[in-house]
Amino acid sequence: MYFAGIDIGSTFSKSVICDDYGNVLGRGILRTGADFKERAVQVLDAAKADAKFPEGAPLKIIATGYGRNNIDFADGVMTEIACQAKGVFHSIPKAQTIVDIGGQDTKIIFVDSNGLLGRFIVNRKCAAGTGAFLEEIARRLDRELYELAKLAMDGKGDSALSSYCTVFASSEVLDRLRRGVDIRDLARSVFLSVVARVMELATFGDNVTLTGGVVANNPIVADLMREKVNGNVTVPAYAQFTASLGAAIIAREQFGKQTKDQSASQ
Amino acid sequence: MAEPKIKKIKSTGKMKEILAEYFKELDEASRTGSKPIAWCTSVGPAELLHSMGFLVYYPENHGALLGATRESVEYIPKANAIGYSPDICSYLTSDVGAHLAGKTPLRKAYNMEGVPKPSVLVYNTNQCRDVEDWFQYYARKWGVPLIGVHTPRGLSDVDEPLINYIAGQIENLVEPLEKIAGTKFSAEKFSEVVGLSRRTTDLWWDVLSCAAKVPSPITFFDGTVHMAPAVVLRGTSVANDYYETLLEELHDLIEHNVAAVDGEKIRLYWDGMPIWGKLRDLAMFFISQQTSVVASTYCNSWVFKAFDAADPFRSMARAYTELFICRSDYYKEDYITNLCKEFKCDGIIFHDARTCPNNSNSRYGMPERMINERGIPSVVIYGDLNDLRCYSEEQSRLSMEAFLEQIRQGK
Repeated sequence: MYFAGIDIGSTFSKSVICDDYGNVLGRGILRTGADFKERAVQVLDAAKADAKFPEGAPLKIIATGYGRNNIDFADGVMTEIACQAKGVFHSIPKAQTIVDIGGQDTKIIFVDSNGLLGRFIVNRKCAAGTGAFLEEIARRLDRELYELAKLAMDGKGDSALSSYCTVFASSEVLDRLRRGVDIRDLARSVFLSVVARVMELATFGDNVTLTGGVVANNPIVADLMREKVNGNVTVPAYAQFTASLGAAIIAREQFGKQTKDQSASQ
Repeated sequence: MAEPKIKKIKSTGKMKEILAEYFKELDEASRTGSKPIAWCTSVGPAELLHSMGFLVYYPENHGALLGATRESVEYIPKANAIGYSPDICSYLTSDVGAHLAGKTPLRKAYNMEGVPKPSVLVYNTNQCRDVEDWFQYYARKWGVPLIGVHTPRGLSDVDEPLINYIAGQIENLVEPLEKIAGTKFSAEKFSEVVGLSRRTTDLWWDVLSCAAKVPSPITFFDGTVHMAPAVVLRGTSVANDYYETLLEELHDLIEHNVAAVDGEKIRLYWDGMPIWGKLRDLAMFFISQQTSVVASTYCNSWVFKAFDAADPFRSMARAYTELFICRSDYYKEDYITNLCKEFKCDGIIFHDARTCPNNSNSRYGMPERMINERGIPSVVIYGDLNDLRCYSEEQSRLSMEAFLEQIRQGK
């Protein structure tokens, strides 16, 4: 029996395939686009190809993410909050605060030493502190997002953009440009403001784990978090896949034992 | 999976009839001038107005109707455009916006000419300052007298000096109301109405208490519908007759172990305002999750256990001052804890309503205190009573679904 998690996120769709022991066999990632179900099929196929998945082998699937309810071929559905907690704890089995910075929202998730989901906080409606915010500012500066992150690495200063609002923050960027602020320092301010918005959401514990596409694709976010957070900041090896991994692990928990019982009775 | 179905409460038909009668009488009085009409805030001194011969109209009920029909979405911007901020009470902006548009859902629902014309506007600031500002709009527009009661807020204790202060303000309303109504105040009549209101309130609490049973025969979402007589007809025997009928039905459901939510697994407490335009969607969501929202601060707001016909002014002052909404967080936390225990709730949904700060209790650290000091988990969702521009469906649904997953893992 194999287990898959499919995470249809707001910007990217991810899939992970595991075996009976929870070992990751393959991963897939694609931009989400408009057709969630079609993209779920494609991203699962990508993970299958990566896993060299045996044709016709039994597979149980849990869907998660924004598009979770559109995946009618899944065997179950869980929120990305529960999946994130499960996936991160699978790799890092200790009490921790997960900070998941995604395309459209940011989540703070508390996990206890038994891996149980505790409190969680989802950012309010505005995009500040999310990938959408970074994309908007990069567009405003006529740069690709990766270029902005590279510029920020060489930036100096400790002055985050102050506004909650992405549109107001864009105006603040223009104001700083007008005042002749170096673009590298400005880029650093942009990423500092992501960190500031995230840290306003909750008081973190001693162990902080960063996940999500923004963290995976922009190492500066983790660097800045390490400067600001009192505690250990960890980024898992596949920080963008933790929710889809969690979904696969949940599939294994829900269906693995049952499958073994069935095979035992046959 | 089959779409979840909201179970019908049979008594609803009777409620619709009595509400239709109520609005018909208001419409006739508005058209003919046969009786004076007082506009009153929903927890304002309605008993005094009834006793003096006024028909009482509640603009907040109109606000809720605008929200439930989602017409508010069309009207709020009209009020914003004349300088009423999107950040103030969206009942106010919905109602003023509807007035500016010359529209009301009362026409379609009750065949009324329009909202009934007031002879006087009477408020109590026990809920918020916005109710006074709301009525001021109409006072300026129509030159109608505006009078009211100013109640302090954030109260831990409701003590005697405070009761004297509020009772004095209510007594001071008598003279101007006599002039407007053209009738003399009758202590006997006033006492009778307060007695009737006490009966309404006791019956309404009995209805709400049915949800303490496991499984519950009624949910918060049913409550937001069936509270209408407690709001607009309290102090009348019509409301009391209705609640006796409803109670009979609920007792029958309890006897037969009929649940409002089939397979009820999780029970929740809803704190704050309803999201009127999303009530149905939310009710269906919770049914799909085998979750019953069994208690709320909102529906309990029309339970006035202090009413005493033998001491009408002072008991009314106490009843309208000891409301949840104008109390301190110390009081509120005890109150919510007790209700969670009584109604066997697994957790709390805090609705942070953008335009209703006074009835949004998550903003001063209460959710953290409820889990850390009292062990009651909660989730905060961000929305509004009427302004759906402030509501993110996906984010709220995700938060609520994850919260239910969190509760399930502990069961």
